[in-house]
Amino acid sequence: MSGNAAMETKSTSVGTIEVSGVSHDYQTTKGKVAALEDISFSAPAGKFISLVGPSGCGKSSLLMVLAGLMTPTRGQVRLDGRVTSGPQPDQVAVAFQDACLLPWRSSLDNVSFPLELRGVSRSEREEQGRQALAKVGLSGFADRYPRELSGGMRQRVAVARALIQRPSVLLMDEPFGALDEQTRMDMGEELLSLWDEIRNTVIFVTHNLTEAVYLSDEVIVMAAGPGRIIERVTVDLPRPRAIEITETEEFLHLRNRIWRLIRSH
Amino acid sequence: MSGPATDVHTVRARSDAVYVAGLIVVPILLWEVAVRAGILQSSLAPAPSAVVTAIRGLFEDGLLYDLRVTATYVIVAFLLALITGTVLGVVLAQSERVAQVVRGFLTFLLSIPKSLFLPLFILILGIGALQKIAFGVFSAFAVIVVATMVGISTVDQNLLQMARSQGASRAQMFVKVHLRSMAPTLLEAARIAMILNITGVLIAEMYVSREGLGFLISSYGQTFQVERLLGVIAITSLIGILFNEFLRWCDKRQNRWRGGV
Repeated sequence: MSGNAAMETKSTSVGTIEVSGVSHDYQTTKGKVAALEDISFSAPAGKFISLVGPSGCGKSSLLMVLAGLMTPTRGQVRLDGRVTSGPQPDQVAVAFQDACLLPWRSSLDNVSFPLELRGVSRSEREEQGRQALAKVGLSGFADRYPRELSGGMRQRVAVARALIQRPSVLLMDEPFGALDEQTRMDMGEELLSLWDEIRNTVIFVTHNLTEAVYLSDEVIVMAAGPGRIIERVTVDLPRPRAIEITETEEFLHLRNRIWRLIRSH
Repeated sequence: MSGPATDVHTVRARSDAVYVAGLIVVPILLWEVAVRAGILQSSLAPAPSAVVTAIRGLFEDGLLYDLRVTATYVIVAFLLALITGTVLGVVLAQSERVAQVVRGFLTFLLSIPKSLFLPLFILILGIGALQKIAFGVFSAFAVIVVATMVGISTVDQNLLQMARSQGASRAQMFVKVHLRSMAPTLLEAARIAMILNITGVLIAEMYVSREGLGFLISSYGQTFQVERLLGVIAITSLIGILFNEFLRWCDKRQNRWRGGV
């Protein structure tokens, strides 16, 4: 299907992330604070990985390091074996906490913004933008401004904008954090069905454990003060996953285990 | 969009326009009647009809030339103030410390009546075009610098980060995020700057010059040609109002996403 061209990744073999010895210190008036301390992990290509942990555990900071938006005090990030510095828009897309849409642009112009930055022609932008909007179920909302959309719709636009970059790595920073529980789970379900077609590497930051287990192949559990990884929990639930899976014993067992890990630190 | 809300708005806007027109037309008619009835002295307050006749005479005597002179000064000075003011504001806003010091200084500058410096401008730059333009720039400049600095500090950092993550260059971020975020502040500043700029140029012309609208106003005042004086005032005011309305229209256009009218 040519209609899917905008959503396909370049290849399934790219998108491997290796984080080695990443530490990040903040300088405050009370001295140095270690936001991240000696974080190392690798994410194989095509895996959905969640970062969970209490606020202040540095999960969002870690994501910003992966995005190249924050340079860590020590350590490095490799993308497909290559040490990166700064944003990598050709490979990495970021979906931010609050949709981060440009308020003066319509949905369509927001979605095609990354293409505009790369100098893609107007007609090509419009075509790809409309396809991306259709993917997230917003075909009829191309001309709406962000303020005319609901929170869930705004987040959908943000997801479409991230996917239009055809990223081999998608970084998501609590993208559904501001939504109500019902919408949040709906969005999770939609994200999974989109991802089933793309199968790129996703790093998903959340504090919602149900969401983390439901979406992920692996949940990385972090603790605060200093921000560090305390456990990596593999989620070997079968895919594709329907929302009902969240009621199974296996699911609840995993979820509770992660919950206890977080509480014990 | 043709919802009932829009209809109500159009109807209200239309009736507002009628009131505004009334506020202009009715006093002028009363004035005309008062002069004809001998209540107002026509040498000091000539009838509107006499002013209209005077305006016709003004055009015959080459008003367009003076209009062009003043318009050139005003436009050149405005563009210079707008460009240099925005650039300086952007540069100064790069450092928080510098911004703070400069903002203090500009606040002083804004509180001083600019006309105090006019004799100095004449001593340094003479009485030609350069002095008129320079004084226009000087009158409007500070407002633009301050507005730019304020505008830049209000740009949403999250949007900048988003653009950076998508590979936006510095220039792209400036044009597509900074400038667009600042547009309402800059347009409002441009409106105020234009008023100050016109005032500056006119005062400079009234003070010393041999051409331009300011020169006409001062010379018709001194020679007691009140009809012509009022004619020039009416035309100058009209130009000011038209420009102001143009910028308001721009502001409305760029503000459509906010969902106003």
